[in-house]
Amino acid sequence: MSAATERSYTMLIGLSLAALLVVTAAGADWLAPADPYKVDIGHVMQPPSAEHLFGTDYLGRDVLSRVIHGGRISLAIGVIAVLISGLVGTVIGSLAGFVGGWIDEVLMRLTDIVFAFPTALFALAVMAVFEDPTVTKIFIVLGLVGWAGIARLVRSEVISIKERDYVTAARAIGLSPLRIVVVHVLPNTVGTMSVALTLGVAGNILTEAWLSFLGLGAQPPTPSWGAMITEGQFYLTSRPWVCVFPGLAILLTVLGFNMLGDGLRDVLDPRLKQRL
Amino acid sequence: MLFFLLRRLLSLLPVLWGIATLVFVLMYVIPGDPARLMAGQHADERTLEVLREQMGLDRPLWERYGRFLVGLAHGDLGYSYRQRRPVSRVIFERFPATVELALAAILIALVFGISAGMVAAVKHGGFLDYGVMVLSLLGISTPVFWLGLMLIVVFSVWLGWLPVGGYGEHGALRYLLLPAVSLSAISTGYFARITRSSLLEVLRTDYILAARTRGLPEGLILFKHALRNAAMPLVTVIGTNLAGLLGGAVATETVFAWPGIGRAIYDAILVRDLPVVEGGVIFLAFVFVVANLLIDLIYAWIDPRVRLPGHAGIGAER
Repeated sequence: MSAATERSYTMLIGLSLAALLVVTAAGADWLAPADPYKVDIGHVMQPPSAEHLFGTDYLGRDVLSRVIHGGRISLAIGVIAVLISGLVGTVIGSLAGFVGGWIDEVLMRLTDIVFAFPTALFALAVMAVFEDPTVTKIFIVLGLVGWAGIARLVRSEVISIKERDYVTAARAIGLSPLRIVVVHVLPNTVGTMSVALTLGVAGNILTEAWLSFLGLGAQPPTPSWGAMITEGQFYLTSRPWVCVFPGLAILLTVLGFNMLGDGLRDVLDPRLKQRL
Repeated sequence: MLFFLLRRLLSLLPVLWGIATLVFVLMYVIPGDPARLMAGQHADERTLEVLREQMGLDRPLWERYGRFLVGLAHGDLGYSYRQRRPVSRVIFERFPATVELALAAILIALVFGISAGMVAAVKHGGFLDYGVMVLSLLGISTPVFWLGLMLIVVFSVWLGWLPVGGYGEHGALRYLLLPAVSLSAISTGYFARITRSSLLEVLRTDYILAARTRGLPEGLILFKHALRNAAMPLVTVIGTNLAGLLGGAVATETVFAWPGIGRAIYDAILVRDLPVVEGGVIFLAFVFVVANLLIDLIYAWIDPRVRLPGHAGIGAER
């Protein structure tokens, strides 16, 4: 198989998996066969059947419906958190790169500190402080801890671009620095950014599932994939399906965004290939 | 080399200070009244008063911050609300198990990741290459705690080969196997991908071509000439992967009831024993930072170019 077809397969599969998540999340109310919160004590822990494709959980809730609705939470957290860290990282990175001097020095030392703190542990340390962890808090926290990589990326792009002739020309005709950065410099970083952000979605979804599994994320009865696995693990040995399906959903979703990111990188920025 | 070492050690200080400050803010500024957390919901006002004085909460914030930093420098991580003993004791007790688990996971990931990556690079474009790529992508996309649960279902419940969890006498291998394998999944995937891509790059260089023209056996070229240079990027990834590994350990130790720091953090989350959670996180972050320093040093030792003053150390360009 040639490199080009391999690349397009990666993109295609990644795109399909991501699209599947977006469609099921958007249409959850119509696609889910049952109400994800509806307790049915008469039918608890049913194995997968024609009526309940993924079985039911310890409260008789339809696992398929909960998995479909869980996609909403994962997608929202993945995307919103990445937008927050993208915004913070872009502002800090372009400020440091374009202005330079001591501002660059201070901002980059700050970035080094945030970058050196393992992101997931950082998020755990913050979430543990709240007495009532919620989905909203997770995406704010994930957004605010995940910007350091983006800031470095944007800074190095900005530095390499700002000495180009067209930027000098823009300066010469008296455009304001803000305008130069936003209109003339940042659009050139879109390629690299879209790769980083797509892979960031995958990372955020995985971290959210991990936090919710540890009880620091979405709380019951919210159908978050990580929290569903926590609830299901007590019945793991005899009724594994309650755990199997939400986990598969996480795996396929994260796989989709990783493949999409890989494919985008190969197309947009072959230089990045080495850096994963 | 000595200069490089000093420079790297100095660059460590602001990072550690930053982590410490952050945790101070998280523990003592945001959560309201630590005395209330320690004494519980039903403590009366007098008890709280005494406790606040004992914990130094009546002092101004900057003084508490100073004490916190000085204490930290002496290895004082605070006092557990629930276990009624210093957090450092809890961590000291739990650390060996976490090290054991993390090292086993890295070892598994290195062995399987590197060999899979090599196979893929040698059979580039073939069926095996494709298989390794798919498997490594699955590996880096796996929620490790879920993989752990699935391994339990298959190997402990269905096949009955290995224990469901726990920690055997002297860390018996039977107990270590499943948690280590599930924790290693993500790293194995990354190592395989890095080995493959960097080996592919090296195999395309002129000196490999030269070696081939001289008629050296393919095995010798691969192991002696190519792999050595392809290993360089791998050293970097080991460091960055450690973050995922330590985070993953919190979930894996929870799933397998493995008595390490991760499990201690999880148990502390359940009873809202904040000092143990934050102390554990500070400690793991510290381990991560120091391990990365060591990896930088190893890297500088292997590749003298890194020691040059203009080079900010590995990872700086990422």
